[in-house]
Amino acid sequence: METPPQRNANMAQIFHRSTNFISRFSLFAGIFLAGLALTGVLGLARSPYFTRQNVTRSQPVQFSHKHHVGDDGIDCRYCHTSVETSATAGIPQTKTCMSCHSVLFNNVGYLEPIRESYRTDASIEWVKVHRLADYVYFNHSIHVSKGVGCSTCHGRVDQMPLMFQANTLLMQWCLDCHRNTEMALRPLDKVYDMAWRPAANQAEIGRQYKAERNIRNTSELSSCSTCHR
Amino acid sequence: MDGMSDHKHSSSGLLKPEPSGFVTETPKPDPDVDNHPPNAEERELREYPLDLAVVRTKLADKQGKQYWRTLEELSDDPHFSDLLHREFPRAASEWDESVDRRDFLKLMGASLALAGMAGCGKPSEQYIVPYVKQPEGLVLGKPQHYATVMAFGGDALGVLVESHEGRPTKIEGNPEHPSSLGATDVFAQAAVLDLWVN
Repeated sequence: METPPQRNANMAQIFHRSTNFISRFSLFAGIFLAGLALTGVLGLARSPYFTRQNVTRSQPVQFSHKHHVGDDGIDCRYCHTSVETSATAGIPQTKTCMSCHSVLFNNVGYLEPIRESYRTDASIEWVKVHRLADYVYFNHSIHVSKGVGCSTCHGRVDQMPLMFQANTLLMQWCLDCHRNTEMALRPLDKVYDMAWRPAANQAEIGRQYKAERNIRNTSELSSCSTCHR
Repeated sequence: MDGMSDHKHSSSGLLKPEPSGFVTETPKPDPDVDNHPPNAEERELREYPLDLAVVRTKLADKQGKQYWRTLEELSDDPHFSDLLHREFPRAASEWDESVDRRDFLKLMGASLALAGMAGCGKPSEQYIVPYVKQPEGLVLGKPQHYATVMAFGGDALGVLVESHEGRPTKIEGNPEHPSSLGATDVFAQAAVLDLWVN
């Protein structure tokens, strides 16, 4: 009878000692990299690449709000007629453009899409700049009638040669205001004033406006169903 | 099994061999059945014929129910077992393993994950298509209500039709019309669908 050979007697270690370190290091590095990736993804979702903040679009006619509002001083409501009564501020009909441009600049080449639209009864297709998700209910008229000015959300439109989105339009941005309504409330005659700036004692004035205009409290205004109906 | 099909000793049943029935000479292929030139396996089988002495030795100390498929298997001849082991990899190679189970699962997992990623893209551009000449009295974003009558069953039902920028969405009774007084029936409710039929 021969004794069975001693198992693993001369067997070399499979893993080098450094493997201990590598395994521990890769454990922590994995957690770190996962966190980094998550930060990157969330950061990208909030970047102008996705929110389209400050990104101008090429429009069929390179309409300048700077010229019409800033230089000519036309009121917002001349074109955006339904802002006081409806959820949408409204994009003007071609006829509104033609009310001036049938006599002003009525033969320049870059306004041909307007004239063509009026002639052929085909709509101009403007590229949408401010886009809210379909699951968000937003109403222009309530904001305007409670004293939130155009420039609070849309920025200095009178200084924009081409329209761009001045704010992120992220939910966080909406809530920033819904939780601090007093900071955005203006005198009602300053709603369409592009140059309005909050006063030094805005918080105090804003609280007064809030009481006068029966604006709901923060918990109601930041409730889910206020915007997600 | 094709290499063994014409070998005299390769029977597939469970045989308890009778020692007296053994042949000692090299087995020959049946000339009536097949005359093809011997392939590598056949040559090997002919080169190393079955050694019956070995088989007898193996059988001598066996008892009870013990089975074997061929006498070669019983003899445990190294040449034959080598031949036997070569058979199955060759047969297995006929199966196309370009996509096996693991690869399939990997591909499906990647497809599912990437299908989810497709939803993460940048939203595409949307267009606003305003009126050329907006109807008078229309406020964008607000419905209009038209008082009209619906001819049904020889009668006229006074109704109010809700319309969003020219698209009818709801029919209700007109409270100020004597024939409906604000009420409708199922036919009037369903009639809004008729307004969409070309």
